[in-house]
Amino acid sequence: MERYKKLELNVIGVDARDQFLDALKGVADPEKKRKIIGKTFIDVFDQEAHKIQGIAWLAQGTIYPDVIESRSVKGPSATIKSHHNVGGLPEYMKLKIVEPLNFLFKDEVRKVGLTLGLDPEFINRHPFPGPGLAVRIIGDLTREKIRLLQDVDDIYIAGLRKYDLYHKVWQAFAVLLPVQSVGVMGDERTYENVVALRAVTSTDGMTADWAHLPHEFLAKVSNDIINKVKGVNRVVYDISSKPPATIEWE
Amino acid sequence: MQETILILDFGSQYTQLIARRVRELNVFCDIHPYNNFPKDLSGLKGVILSGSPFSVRDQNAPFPDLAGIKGKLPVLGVCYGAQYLVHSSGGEVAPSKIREYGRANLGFIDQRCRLLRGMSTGTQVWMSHADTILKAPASFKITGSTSDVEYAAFKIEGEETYGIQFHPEVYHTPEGLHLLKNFVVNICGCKQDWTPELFVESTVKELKAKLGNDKVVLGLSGGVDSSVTAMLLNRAIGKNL
Repeated sequence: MERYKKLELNVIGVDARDQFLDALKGVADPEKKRKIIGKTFIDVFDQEAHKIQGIAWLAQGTIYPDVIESRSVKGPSATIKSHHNVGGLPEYMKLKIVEPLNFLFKDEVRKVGLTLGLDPEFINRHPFPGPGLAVRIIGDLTREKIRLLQDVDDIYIAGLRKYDLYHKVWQAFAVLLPVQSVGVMGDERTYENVVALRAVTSTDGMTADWAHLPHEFLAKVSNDIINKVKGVNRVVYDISSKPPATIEWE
Repeated sequence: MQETILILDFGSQYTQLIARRVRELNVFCDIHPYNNFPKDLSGLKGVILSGSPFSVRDQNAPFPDLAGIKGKLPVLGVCYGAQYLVHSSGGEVAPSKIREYGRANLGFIDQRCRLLRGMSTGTQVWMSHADTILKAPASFKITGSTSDVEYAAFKIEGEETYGIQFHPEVYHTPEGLHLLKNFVVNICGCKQDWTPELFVESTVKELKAKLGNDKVVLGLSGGVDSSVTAMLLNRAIGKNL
């Protein structure tokens, strides 16, 4: 929000955390989680958009590959992904659509963003899934789990930046597993959470190999996570490529 | 109207890659399916015919009517596109004895050909085809060959129509970008002025004209695409976003 305000955008922030978390309470099935998040997003957007009077257009961040797909040789595909921002916007809104990026490839969008004065650190961020951390917490979601994963991810990503590895991988993130394991800290036995670290190299996200991060770095980051994040006593590293695995876990 | 290279897509997995390469040269290019020509042809400087999973001998293979462009604008046929040029002019395209996939070398290059000029003899090119051109009308002049493929590159006399059997857009054709530059810059005469700055300038202008005083709503997810969309609209219409 701060970033957008600084850019002098006319932006309305909506804190819908409770709405999302209430809807997701006790849901562990990954497909259900995705659907609930998509629907909640539309509900929230719809509520807010209704408060603004006299809107004629809906803008979307659709990019060129989606456009090509929709007018492909085989004819309009029946299964075109709806943009997750607005997928299935209610009919009655009847807005005209404007899509200023619909002739650009992803790397061109990035170049245009830089030209428009967006921060290179922001523009060159790793891809992030639409449903957010919900697909990186295996099983059901709670506030505590989200907090814990954010702390772990923060240490991991900051470490990658510090060791100058962030831009050498396509994507890196932590996953909170629904597993607890035994550990020993000081003189006490512990029974706490396991997190998996994932980092992959890829040129387009279609295929990917696990990143061969330096052992020294993995040792340091694992140590940092276990010492600093209460509730984690074991860190594992994901060494699967795509295919047969996928980049994200859910 | 903006200078544009049109790629007619016959369904090749590499079509988007051709577009990327052309745009790397700061030339705008747009992909349309072979059976869906764009309505507005102003600004069109040249046409590239893509490859295809089809064979020209297939019953349901794409056979577009090129009368509106061929001979009028520069045309470059790639793989299927080249075979289609031959086939539709009465030449002969047949299954190759050996399927040709992978590396080959252009042992013969006619340096007078504006498409191939400056490429080095023996340069590696990437082949991916099961059919091959056996015979072409007399006006089709061979300008490049490999040891297995006589018609690796050709030009039709009297018009700016070219065909190549190999794929210039892939990584394994190291001088492919040089060839595409020869086509879009030297043959089509594109100015290479399609830059992010020009895109921003012209898009802001278009958005202003299109949206006027209307109000626009955008779902800003925090991702790169919606953020850049917001910045563009903000520049064009300010608080109406």
